[in-house]
Amino acid sequence: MKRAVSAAAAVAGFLSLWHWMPRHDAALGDSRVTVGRKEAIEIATRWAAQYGVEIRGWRFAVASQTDPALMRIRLASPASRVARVFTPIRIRVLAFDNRGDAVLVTMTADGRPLSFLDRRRNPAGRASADAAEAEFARLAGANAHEFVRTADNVRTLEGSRSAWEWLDPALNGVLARIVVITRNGHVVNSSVEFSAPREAAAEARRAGWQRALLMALAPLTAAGISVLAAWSLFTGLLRHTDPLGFAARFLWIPAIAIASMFLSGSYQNEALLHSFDEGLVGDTRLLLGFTVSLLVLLGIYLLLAASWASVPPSQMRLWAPAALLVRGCWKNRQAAGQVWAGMTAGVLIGAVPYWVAAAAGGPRVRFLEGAGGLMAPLPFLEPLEELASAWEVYLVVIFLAPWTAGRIHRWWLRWLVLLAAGALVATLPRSPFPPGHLANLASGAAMTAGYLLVYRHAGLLGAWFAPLGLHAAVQGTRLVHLPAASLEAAGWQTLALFFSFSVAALAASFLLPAADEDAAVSRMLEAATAPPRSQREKLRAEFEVARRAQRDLLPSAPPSIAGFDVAAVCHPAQEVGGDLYDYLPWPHGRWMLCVADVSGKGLGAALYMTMLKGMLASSAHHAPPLETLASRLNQAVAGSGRGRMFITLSLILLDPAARRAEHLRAGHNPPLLWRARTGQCEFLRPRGIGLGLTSGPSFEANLETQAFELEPGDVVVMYSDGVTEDMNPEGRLFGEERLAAVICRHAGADARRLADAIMEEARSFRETAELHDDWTLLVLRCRPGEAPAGGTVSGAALQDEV
Amino acid sequence: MTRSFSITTRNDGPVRVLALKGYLDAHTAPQFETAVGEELQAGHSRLVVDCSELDYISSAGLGVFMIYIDEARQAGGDIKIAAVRPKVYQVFDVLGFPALFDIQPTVEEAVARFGQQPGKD
Repeated sequence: MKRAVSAAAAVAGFLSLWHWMPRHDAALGDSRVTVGRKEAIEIATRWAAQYGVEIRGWRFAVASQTDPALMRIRLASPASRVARVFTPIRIRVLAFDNRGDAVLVTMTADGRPLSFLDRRRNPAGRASADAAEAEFARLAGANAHEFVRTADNVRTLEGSRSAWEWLDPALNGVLARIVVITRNGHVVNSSVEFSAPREAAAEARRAGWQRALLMALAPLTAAGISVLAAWSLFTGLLRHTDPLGFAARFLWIPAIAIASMFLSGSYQNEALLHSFDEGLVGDTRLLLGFTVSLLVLLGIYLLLAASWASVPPSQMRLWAPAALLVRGCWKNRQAAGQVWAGMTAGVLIGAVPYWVAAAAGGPRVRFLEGAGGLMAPLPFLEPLEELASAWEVYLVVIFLAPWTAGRIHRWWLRWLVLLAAGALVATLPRSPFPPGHLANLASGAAMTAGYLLVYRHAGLLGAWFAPLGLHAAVQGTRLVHLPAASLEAAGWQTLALFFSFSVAALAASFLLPAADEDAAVSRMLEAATAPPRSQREKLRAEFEVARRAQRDLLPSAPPSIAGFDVAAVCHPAQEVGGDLYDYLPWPHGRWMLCVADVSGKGLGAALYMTMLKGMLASSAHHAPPLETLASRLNQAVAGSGRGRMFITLSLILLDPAARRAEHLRAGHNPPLLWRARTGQCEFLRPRGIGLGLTSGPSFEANLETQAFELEPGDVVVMYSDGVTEDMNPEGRLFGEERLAAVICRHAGADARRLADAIMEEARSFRETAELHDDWTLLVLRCRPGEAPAGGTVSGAALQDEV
Repeated sequence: MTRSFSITTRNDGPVRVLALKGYLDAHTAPQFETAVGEELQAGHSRLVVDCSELDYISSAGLGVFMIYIDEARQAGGDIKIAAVRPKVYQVFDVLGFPALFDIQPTVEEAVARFGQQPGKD
């Protein structure tokens, strides 16, 4: 449904453009461009040949530019004949070869000659005595009789200078001047120039103080929003680091746009001509263009970061598809849908200035005339520039709309602020009407309203891609209407690019799977509500202390137990973990081996772990029976955990001399016992409930101790659930069977090597997945072929067992 | 690595059935905790947790059952666990849950148990 509305918007937009543009567009009207790049090069080559210069096969740079003096004259006095005869848009063709020779030809937008500059090192060709007069006749054309000669072969450093002037009778001080410089009978420089003194343009400035105020307000508004953005960015940075991360990842979209400008050749065109104007041949200005592009990207980066930091929770869903996209989630139908909606809505927004022109009684629309791009080798790529240059959208819609949402609570006031800001800012980069004309405000406000609606319904990507749709539709439609064959072709190419791009987005919005927006929104919420950075750093430092303290709590080296070897490993999944292992000397030469796991992870779990360690250590003196010890621990945990925390615990009390052991399991994973005699593994599963889950009686009723004997070569492996629940990227668990299998394979090795083998097996199983729970392992092995150290069974141990 | 987890709630007579789906771990446990908390606040103390589509449970997920079991029983209800897959049951079993919770092979049987033994199990 939404997609159909977008399609309807695009159709309506194109119909509007098709209908209104030819009537109101300046480029299609009085300054009609009838010459494209291809035609301009052909004309220039033909003329050059007439001057005796063969430039076929040279490199070309073509650009069009607007003559500001002539524009002023046109604005001031539409009746001026000088202004009627010459078009304000002029096309410059620079030809140069690799020897350093260059020729510059300028023509009107409809292909009449305006200037010729021969900058070859050795001008040669047909010489003629009346070269200056012939050149004048060529440049003045049908208006030759209006000109009066003011200089006749005056000798200058450059050559012989001749000049003719045409004073406009309608406007005092306005004139067109033709200057021709010849050397040895060759024209080396000729030009048509215009001059319009300030007084002549007075009419244009009679607009009054309101317009002056408007013209001052526009840059002030833009500057104000930028300051706001900078402030918001700095305060945002104090809170969290996310905005910069998002902006950096999003930057590839405008970066592609800028790269496309280099690909389309329009930067190179401009750069070559600028370099030539500065007396150089080559692309020296390209470096400058490149630097400026980087600065533009930097600006977008900072503004995006400021916007990201300002997005209120109610608008996070609008940003989620972009956040997912830039994190590499390409299978994202929401993002494609936003792009489709933005591109299509842009077409309708592009029609706005023409509606306003029709309503305001027909002022000419100078909208996206950006004629430089017209002359690029690949002009149809030009609209892509809009992904990096639609500043009115970035400032007002992408930054100010989220920023005001959390601060201005009356919706109508918010819209009012946004529309006013949009109307003013939009007049800055491209006012469709003459500067200060009130129609600029009207179209600015209407277009801002359009962008805001796109943002509300199609999110960040919609708003970001709308200018692309707008530019492609406006420029494509205009070019198609222009009479030059190459421009018309470029127009169709532009429209085809728009069409294929938006249809691809539409198809993707149907075909791709939906991305998990909820996850993105919750990540954004988490980042927005995270503690301030300074506080977070403090926390991190405290965590580091906790982590070190915790690591110190674990035994630094295994004990040496006669006839046995022991090894243990503990990898916390987070800075601090909830797993514990320990070996405690117990009275009568016995050892208590313990592995425990506190539910949950992080600091809370670590604190419980510390408590457990302390309680175990303090029990060593009294050496109570295992069940009594577990009961006490259960009471302590249940009392302080209040149901929110529980601990699973596995205890093995080893009497090494007698090679006997007792095992108690409080809800913990059952240890594995490998019997050297049979080569089989068995799980030790006495009954037992996790500590802290239930009160005394039911805990004790469900508790049992298991006694077993160990023979040389036997191995006991205690572990936490992090080992068996180790997860690989597909979500499969390591599991008890795999653990048993690896133990069976390596049980002949000593404890250390067996632990390493299990760790290695787990690591290769986990592949790229991260450890998601603490991973703890304790291996006890009865050394093969060694007699018991003591030889007699300790009486106390027997008593405990009973 | 975030894995999906979802809860759907339905009524089965006077009993509320919370069907869990996916991975219940430290990341998703808060969601489950909120859901159970809301049910108890709304006065629904007879809860059956349908684990037929639960793929994985971690200790944090198990903790949620512990947080609310006393509250549910004090309110005259219970939290019963139903249709647990073998892998997940193993986790419940290791921890000793069968001694503390009423774990039934199907949701219907769990719901029916409320009729047999109103209140505490």
